[in-house]
Amino acid sequence: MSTVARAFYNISLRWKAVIVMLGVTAISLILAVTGMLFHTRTAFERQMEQKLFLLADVIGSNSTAALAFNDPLAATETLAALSSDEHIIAGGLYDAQGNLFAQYRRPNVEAELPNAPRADQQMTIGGGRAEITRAIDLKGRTVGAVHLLADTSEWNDILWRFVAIAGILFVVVLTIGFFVSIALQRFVTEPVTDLVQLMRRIALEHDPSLRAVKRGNDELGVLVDGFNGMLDEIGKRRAELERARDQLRHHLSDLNSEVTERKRAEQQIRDLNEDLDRRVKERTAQLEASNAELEAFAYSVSHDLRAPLRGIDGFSGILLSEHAASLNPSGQALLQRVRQAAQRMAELIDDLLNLSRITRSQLTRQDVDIGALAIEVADELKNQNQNRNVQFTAAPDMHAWGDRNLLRVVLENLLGNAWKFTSKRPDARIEFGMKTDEPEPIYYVRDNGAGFDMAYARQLFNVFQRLHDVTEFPGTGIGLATVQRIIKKHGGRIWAQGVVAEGATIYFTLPRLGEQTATADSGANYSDRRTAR
Amino acid sequence: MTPKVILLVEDNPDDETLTLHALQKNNISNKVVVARDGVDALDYLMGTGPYAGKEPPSLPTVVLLDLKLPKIDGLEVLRRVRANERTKLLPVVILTSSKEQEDLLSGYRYGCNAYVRKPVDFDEFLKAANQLGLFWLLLNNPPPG
Repeated sequence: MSTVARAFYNISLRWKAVIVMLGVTAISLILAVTGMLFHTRTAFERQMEQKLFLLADVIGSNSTAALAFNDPLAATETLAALSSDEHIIAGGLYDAQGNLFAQYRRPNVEAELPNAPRADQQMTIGGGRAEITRAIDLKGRTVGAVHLLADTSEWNDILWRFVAIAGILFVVVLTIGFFVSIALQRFVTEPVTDLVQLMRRIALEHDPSLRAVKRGNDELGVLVDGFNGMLDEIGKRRAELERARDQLRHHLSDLNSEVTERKRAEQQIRDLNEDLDRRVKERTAQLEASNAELEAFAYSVSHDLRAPLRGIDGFSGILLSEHAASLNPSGQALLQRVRQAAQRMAELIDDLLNLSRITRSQLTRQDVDIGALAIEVADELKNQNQNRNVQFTAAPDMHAWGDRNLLRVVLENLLGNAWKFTSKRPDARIEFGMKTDEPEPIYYVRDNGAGFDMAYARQLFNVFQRLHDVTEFPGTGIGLATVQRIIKKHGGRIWAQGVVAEGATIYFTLPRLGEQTATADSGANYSDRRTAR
Repeated sequence: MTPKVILLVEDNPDDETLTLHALQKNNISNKVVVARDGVDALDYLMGTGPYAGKEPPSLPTVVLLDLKLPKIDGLEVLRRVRANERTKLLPVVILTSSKEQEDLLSGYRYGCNAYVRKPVDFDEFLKAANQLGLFWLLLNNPPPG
């Protein structure tokens, strides 16, 4: 692109329009002036030619006699008439042989007359001179020639005048054209400059309500429509964008407050966890301390509480066996009661120690063939009570997840109870089974023994709670409490159903907790692991 | 042949009386030496303390050892007996009130030869004493030496 063109691209539309209009005007003006100038010059030349030919013809016809009679003076006189025309600067008359016969010269003007010029139909023009040569014919015979030389300097005056007029015209026309174009260009450029200004305002003010004014239905109108449509669209988009931004801001603030809230909650949880941890540690320490105390207590009970009982029973025994003679039967019976009481106390101590041992013991869970275990326990019971006829049944393939030793204690107690409470029945039946149609397996020990009143079902599992007379069925009332403690330690449930004189059923569940980690876990360990996370 | 002697380590006089009575009742007329605490028992066995200077008494045929004792408890007595070259093969029967699992475990871990729980029921006690006497004094062959 040339620099001019580039400069042109950079001028405003308004001046572009003016320049284009003025350019067109100037070009047409120049073309018109040039055409007129050409036409004027042609007319001037033709006029000159006609005038010169006419003069030459007049001189030629007036000079035939002078030529014929060889009278140069007459011819000169005839030629002198040329002085009436101010343009003619020289004239020459030639005889048939081409010799200059007579001549005319304007005074003070330098002019050369040619030798033997050839006659021609055309005028020769140039160098501020025009010349013609005309043959003189007399009765079909050329008797001589006339040559005229004219001054055409007048043409220059005409030309300059013309140029001056054209120049003035040019200036005037261009000036008028300028103002006219200024006046007219606003129809074209104003909408565009308006658009441009509007664009600037929009860019500066960000006023979404600004619109371009439509002035007509021409291309600019379409442009304005398009522009306004675009503004509408932009406005719409912008509104959407702003809405979205507001929503986003809203969400963001929501999110922020949520994050803050969550952080606060997390901090709270951390604090609580720390507190919990601390309390668990404290509680664990307390528990450990009390466990240690309990252990020391149990140890001491185990050793020291039994010794006096042994003394009571032992010395009573010696009295009865070695000093029976000094006692009457009633005294002997009383002493026998002393011994029974001591022995019962020893049983109570043993059972209590068992219960406490179970409380302190750790669970080692494993898969236990609880059916086989029950059969084992039942066999032992049969051996111990060989005078009894008990029909014992255990469902096949019963398994449980628990501590084998503790489950054995459970079965010893439950089956032992069943054995005990069916002792008055000749057709004792004891069943160990499992209900599998429940969400979790429910194990049960059912007997057709003495049963119990459901009103006392809850008390069954309390320590030292007995529903039967000791003389009727011996026992300490600790067995079911021990069983309950073991089941609860396993996370299971235990309950009882019974009908007096018809039988009792003890149900219990053993959740399959911690099956994946087949390692030793006690309640305390379990909670430790939970809080350690 | 030296007469078979039983060493009874027992701090409770009632238990002592009852044990002696039970042994006697079962016609076990062997000499029973009674030590009332752990130190006494060890002095007797090692020939130290009041037993020092003299020819150390020959070892008893069996020691009936209570666990809860003043000064030095039964388990420590057992540990020292087993640690001593002279007494390490000595038959020791733990005769105690407790059947706590930890007592049983440590009793056997320290190398007792038997663990018998003293029954409260005197009839049972008599039976136990009879069987102990029969077994350790008659049936069992003691280590040589």
